Amino acid sequence: MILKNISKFQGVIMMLDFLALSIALIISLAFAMLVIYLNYRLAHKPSKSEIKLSTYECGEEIIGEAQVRMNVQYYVYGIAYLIADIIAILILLWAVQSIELSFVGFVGIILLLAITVFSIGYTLKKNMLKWV
Amino acid sequence: MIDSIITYLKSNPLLADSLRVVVAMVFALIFMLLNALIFIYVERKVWARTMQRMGPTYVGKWGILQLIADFVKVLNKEIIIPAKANRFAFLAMPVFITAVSLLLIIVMPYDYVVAYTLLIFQPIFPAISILKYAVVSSYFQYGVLLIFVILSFNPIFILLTGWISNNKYSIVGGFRAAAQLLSFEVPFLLSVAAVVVLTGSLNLYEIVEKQKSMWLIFLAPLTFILFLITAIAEAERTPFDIPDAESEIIAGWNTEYSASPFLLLIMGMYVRAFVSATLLAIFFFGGWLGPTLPGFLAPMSGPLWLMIKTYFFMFLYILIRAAFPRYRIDQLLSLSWTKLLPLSVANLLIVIAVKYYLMSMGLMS
Repeated sequence: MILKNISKFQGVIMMLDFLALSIALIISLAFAMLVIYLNYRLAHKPSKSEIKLSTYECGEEIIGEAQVRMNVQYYVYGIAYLIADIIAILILLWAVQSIELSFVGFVGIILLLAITVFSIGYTLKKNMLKWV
Repeated sequence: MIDSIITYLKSNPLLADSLRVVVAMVFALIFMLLNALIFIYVERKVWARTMQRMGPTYVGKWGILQLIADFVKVLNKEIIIPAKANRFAFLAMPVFITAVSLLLIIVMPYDYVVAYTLLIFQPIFPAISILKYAVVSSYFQYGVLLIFVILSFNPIFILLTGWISNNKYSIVGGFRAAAQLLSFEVPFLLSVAAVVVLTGSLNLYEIVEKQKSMWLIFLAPLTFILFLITAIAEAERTPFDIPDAESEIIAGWNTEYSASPFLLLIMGMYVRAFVSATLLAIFFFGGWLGPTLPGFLAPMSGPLWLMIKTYFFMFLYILIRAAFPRYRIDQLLSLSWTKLLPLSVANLLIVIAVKYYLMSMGLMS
């Protein structure tokens, strides 16, 4: 349907997409910076003491470093997300064309889903997707 | 005068397109900011009433002007950048997060809402009908895909915001928020895939037009429930607001922020919540479809229906926030991976079966 015939007309529409997105990004960036600039101009600037600029820890003395290493198990979430998300995007793209694709495409999608569920299930069984 | 402008723009299609996008974006931006203000006001008021408080009452009648007073107050506050934080990145991250969230509104049909609502003034200013050509959101053939591309920037930005603040609460909050958003993205995408299977389109306008015979809520109620849960989680609202659980980690990943950077972060969150409420209305409740409202012209009642439905879901979000306690982070993540993910896969298979059944009956093309 859409993916099959990228005609000249479709090309123009696609270009409008990118044009619109880039203009929208410029406008929204400008807006966000304008708010911060306005704040910077309007705010009264009292003197900054060392205590005011210190890291917030409920008024206690600051202990140790904040930027510590995270437990390695955290990254399993990232990996599981990567696997499942790519498959979900593939399914989303398949879903647009689902009318035109034949039985073969359907079986392919079922297989893909089965592999995803199996791999996520294996990770869960091994107790790797666990918050520590 | 107007005719000569139109003929000039017709000879310059690129300029005409750019101008159209600028007009549409400015419309949508003003609309979005107004609605974010209304959303926050309604939330504070309803939230207070459910707790048997009064909420804002002092500024203006029923405290209507409270949010504007707050806005002015925040602009007068001092920007404090902690000495340990990275100075440039500390100011840049709120700008990026807000800009990326505001990017969503060019894809959503808000410019359509504004342009067609302004037609009220057509009898006074006939030239206003030219605004109908400023609607660009209908051109995004891959609109749904684009929304998810934009949303998937958020976990990275939030993790970075927590990290560069160099505060223990911020870092813990950032890690939690990123894990939560990543975990809920998958069932979110799969439930949208079910919508796309039923409608066969990634364009928001076509998805609504396909619901003319029947709203998708009746065809796929399970998809609706899944989408509702995951949309609330993606918008980081209660009961899934672990990133800023006040009682545990102060304010989560935005602990160190104050003044306008804080305002921008909060605004980005409300924009995302409002967009997800609109998505619920578009995907499942037929968007702008509905009978002509009494006293309004036919082209104007469409946008009004969309707003009515969006505000209904906003109200639902607020009530959910008022009524439910917060999940714990490990409970939340295991909810996503062990319950919602298998459920959304099963839901997708059910929807495919429904689609093939309806096609074989000749009820759907």
